[in-house]
Amino acid sequence: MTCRWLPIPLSIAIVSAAVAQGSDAQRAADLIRAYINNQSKTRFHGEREVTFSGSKGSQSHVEVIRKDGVRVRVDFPAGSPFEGQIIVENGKERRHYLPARNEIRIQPVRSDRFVQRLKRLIQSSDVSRLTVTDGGEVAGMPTQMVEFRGQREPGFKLWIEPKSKLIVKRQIYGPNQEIIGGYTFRTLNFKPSFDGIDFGLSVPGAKTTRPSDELARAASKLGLPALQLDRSTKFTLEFVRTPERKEAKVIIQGYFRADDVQVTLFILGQDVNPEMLKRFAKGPVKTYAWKVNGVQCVLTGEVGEEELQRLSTQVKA
Amino acid sequence: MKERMNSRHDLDQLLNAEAQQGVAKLVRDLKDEEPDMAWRAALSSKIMEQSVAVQRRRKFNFFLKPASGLALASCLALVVVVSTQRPQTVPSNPAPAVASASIEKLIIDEHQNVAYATDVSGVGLAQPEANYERAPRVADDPILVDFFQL
Repeated sequence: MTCRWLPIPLSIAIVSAAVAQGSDAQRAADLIRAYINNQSKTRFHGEREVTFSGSKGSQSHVEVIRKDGVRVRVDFPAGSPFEGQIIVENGKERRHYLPARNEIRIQPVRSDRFVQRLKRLIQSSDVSRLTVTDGGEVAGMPTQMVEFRGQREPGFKLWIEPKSKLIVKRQIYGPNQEIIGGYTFRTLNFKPSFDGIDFGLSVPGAKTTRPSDELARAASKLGLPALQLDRSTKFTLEFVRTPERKEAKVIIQGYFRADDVQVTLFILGQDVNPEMLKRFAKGPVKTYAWKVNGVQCVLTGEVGEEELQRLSTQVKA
Repeated sequence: MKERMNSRHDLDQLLNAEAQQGVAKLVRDLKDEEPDMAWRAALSSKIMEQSVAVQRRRKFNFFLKPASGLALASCLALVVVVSTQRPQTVPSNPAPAVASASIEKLIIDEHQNVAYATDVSGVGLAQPEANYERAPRVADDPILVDFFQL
């Protein structure tokens, strides 16, 4: 007779677990919300180890971060492959000093683009996929670990220090749930002194370049047209790269819109197979390939193919 | 006493009346119907059969109800557990059997690297920058490095 009543406590237990999970997700969302709201106010001086993982292994480097509200300065310690480089952001622009070239590269504010993703997440139904657990100590401070197990987009783990609401450790997963990188703060001082710290980054004699200058230089070097996405599309050119490859001449341009939508424009010195591109594109990533005066162009982005096709009409010299 | 005797006499007279005799004869002529034993037996066996069926149904319900409850609870548990599990993402477009370093694959990889790079490092050095701006390479040529070093 006992087993006739077994489903009742079992169902209650299941419902309770579901409710508990709901409140768990809510608690995780509250922690993320607190982090977002505190972003422009936090002040700290810390050292963190950043790791990028790829198919050929991982590489790490150390960054010294000074943050005073929206002003941020990143330095690299002696012995680092990036020693001497300086990055600053002041809420209006990003400046990256490259000592080997005595050049300051001026780019749009990158701030913490990840914040935009978090904002979208806590406003979506995916918020229920958040969990929170005790994260142990990071940089000598207790943390809460918020995890997002992505279904449509890559997941992450965030270790948040509850008092400062700062993400002191972060791990990002790729589309196949492989770790693609992250950072861990080794030291943190929430009462720093920034006397004499230059958040403006002015280096006498250094030339300044913008992404459009880099595009012109790359196009000239590779003998490809300096095609770019017109400003009327509201996409801003953030970077230009020209990878070296014997069998391929290519200019890569990264564009971002204010709502954090990213598209990448490729100008190539060789043809590509549009069908092959589509086969490699995973999840929400779409591609569109076309030619301008015989030059192969490709647009990729997490927007619809029709949108990419529309944007392609705005790619001009 | 005399009055009682008189009333009995009246009653006898009434009973012996012709109409009463007719009714008495009718009643006497009625057939005395004994219940049929075969019918009784059939009724008893039907009752027995039905009680066995009821018992069988009770026994069946005794197991069926908890079992269906458990099945429902298990389904719910499965839904809760599965919905919280990390999905085993299957690439929507499995990589075709071509050279893994084809330009098409590298284009897609590069786009995704850019998207993830800023997620990883935030305001700091992004992965492509880390690849491109390493001091030794910068000395050689500022913007030309191996394609996708990682």
